[in-house]
Amino acid sequence: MRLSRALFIARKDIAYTLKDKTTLAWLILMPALFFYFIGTATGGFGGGGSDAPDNIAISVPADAGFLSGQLALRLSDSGFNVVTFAADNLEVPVSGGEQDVAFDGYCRRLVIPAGLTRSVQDGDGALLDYSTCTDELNAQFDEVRVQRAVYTTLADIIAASVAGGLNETNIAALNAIERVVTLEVRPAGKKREIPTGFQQAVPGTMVMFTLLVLLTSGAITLYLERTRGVLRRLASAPLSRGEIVFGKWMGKMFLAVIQIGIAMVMGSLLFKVNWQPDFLMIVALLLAWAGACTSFAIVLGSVGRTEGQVSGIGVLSSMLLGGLGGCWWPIEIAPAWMQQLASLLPTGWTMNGLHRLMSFEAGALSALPELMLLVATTAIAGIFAVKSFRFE
Amino acid sequence: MIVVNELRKQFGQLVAAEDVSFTAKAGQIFGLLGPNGAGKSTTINCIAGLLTPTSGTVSVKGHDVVSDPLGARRTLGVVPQELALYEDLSARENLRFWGGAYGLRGQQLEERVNTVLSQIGLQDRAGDKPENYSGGMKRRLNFGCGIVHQPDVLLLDEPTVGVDPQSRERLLERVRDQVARGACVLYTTHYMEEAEALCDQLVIMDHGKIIASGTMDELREMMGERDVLRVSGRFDGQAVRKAFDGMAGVEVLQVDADVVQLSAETATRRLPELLGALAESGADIQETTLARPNLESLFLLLTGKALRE
Repeated sequence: MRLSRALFIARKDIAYTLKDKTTLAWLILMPALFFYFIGTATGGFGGGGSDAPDNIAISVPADAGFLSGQLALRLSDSGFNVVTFAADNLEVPVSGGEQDVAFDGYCRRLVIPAGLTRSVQDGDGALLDYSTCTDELNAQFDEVRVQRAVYTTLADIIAASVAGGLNETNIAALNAIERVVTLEVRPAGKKREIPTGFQQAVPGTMVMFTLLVLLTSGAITLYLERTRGVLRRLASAPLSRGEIVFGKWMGKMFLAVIQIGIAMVMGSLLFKVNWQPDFLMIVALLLAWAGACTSFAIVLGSVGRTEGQVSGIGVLSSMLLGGLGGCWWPIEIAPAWMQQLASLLPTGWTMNGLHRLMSFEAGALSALPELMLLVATTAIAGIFAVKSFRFE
Repeated sequence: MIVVNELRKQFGQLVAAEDVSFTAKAGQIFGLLGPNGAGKSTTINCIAGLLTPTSGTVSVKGHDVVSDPLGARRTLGVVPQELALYEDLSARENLRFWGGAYGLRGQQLEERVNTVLSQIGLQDRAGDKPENYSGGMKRRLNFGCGIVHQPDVLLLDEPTVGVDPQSRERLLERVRDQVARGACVLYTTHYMEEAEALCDQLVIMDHGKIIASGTMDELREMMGERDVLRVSGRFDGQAVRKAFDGMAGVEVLQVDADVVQLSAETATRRLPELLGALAESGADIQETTLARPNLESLFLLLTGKALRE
């Protein structure tokens, strides 16, 4: 087999595919729209990025007393960026945060009851109301940090009471003492922030659209070449079967690479998606995914009986695999059965690998199992593609 | 140039070609004639390397199509029956693609593309896509894609199907051009007039076998000095056959309810006798035509059925 002849077929194949305006629209315009709409609906730029602030808004009644300040201090010690609102004006913060973001605009909210300090001094209970909208995994971690702040405040109350009475002076003196023992609470291992917003929508849509474009435009052009007799005519040219099949495979692979390249550049420039720190591994993973999609497209284009059938199977399977594999939403927030199903799907492997590399910062090698699975899928589907390739 | 020797091609139980042997030479148009399903396309596909013969051998310019397929295909140009074109590419781009597939590059490719565009009369529409062409223009482009690399051997599979008379004549002229430059042309058709006008050598196939072969004159000789009398009207088949049974020098080629064809020696002089016999059989005669034997009548004589059936 001569590579130059296969490359000739590949070049012509991609040039022919890109002549189609519909393909160009699906390649460039549609992913951008999907990035924007899905990304905006799920958190936009704030979704899961490492820059996302750890804000907590607290509502403080005028008579809450000095213990509200102590609690705010302990929340701050727990790693929160405390934004304080007066209970009678929840529109504009008293301290911290953005002036144009109201109390309800924050995901983590703590409502301090009226007369907090007096109730505690009187030995009555006080009820703090904490609510959050973060995902389940992060909500648990936040809860631990809020509890830690509350328990530390309780310890301060006890210490101040023992030292001479619970008053603002004793609390201030207590705060001035250097702590001999401190408890630091932080997540074990690497960062595990489930991506939302563009950080999820861009890679997810990119993975799904790579499959979609390959299984529609890629497979349909092959189907049309077959049914119009072009492949048959090509088979009578001085080209071996291997050169033609490999050339067609490479042509479709170019299409997948173009789709991924456009999505990555668009994601970086328009949606501030961070492809670091394991960029090369991300590229390797996406190339393996592109290879698998390419082989699927060759199989579909070879066995499809009508254009409608090829197109229907292409769209349906892309949507289904995209949804079940975690391209539309982070699979980490899906029910357990769906997570198990995703672990069996190539879309799931790709998304899982991307999450590890982009959002969990688990290191390049953490995505090696997914990479190997995708390479194996490409190889197995490639064998099917070669076997099923038909000239008529 | 093309040597086919005892070719047999079987698909499961179906024998599509059996004991097919012929030799087509350079500078010659070799016709493969027969109705649909006669085995013409199977034979041409074996020559093009698209099908592997079950047995027998096929060689093109000395290259065996099985043991040296690329060598054989390098000498071939193929014009398939279907319009095997890229609908989204212009005529020029289509020609560039097919020229490139046969190894032409750069200046040589561009020159050939321009020459072929001129030959097939599409130079003014070179930038248009085939989807905007008439049927005849598409056929010409389909033909052009097969000759862009100037093949030594050209396989034409029903290249004029569905083409208007003007485009057909233009295409046939281009076929003759190929022969004039020394190419060997293998031409399959079921248009007998086309085959008679174009081919130097002919093979007539039916049910996968060669039933007659030779030059046009040699094939006419097989009919002897007979004319063909075609009579239309209303006929009783049994009575017609009985009427001519045993009549010297007359053979019933075809009897249908509305048409009868007879092959008869010196039919011109015996016309009253023949029509009288028909009238006696109870026939209602409406129209008669007397013609010299042609491929159609030869095919009728050999197979008992019309070529277009």
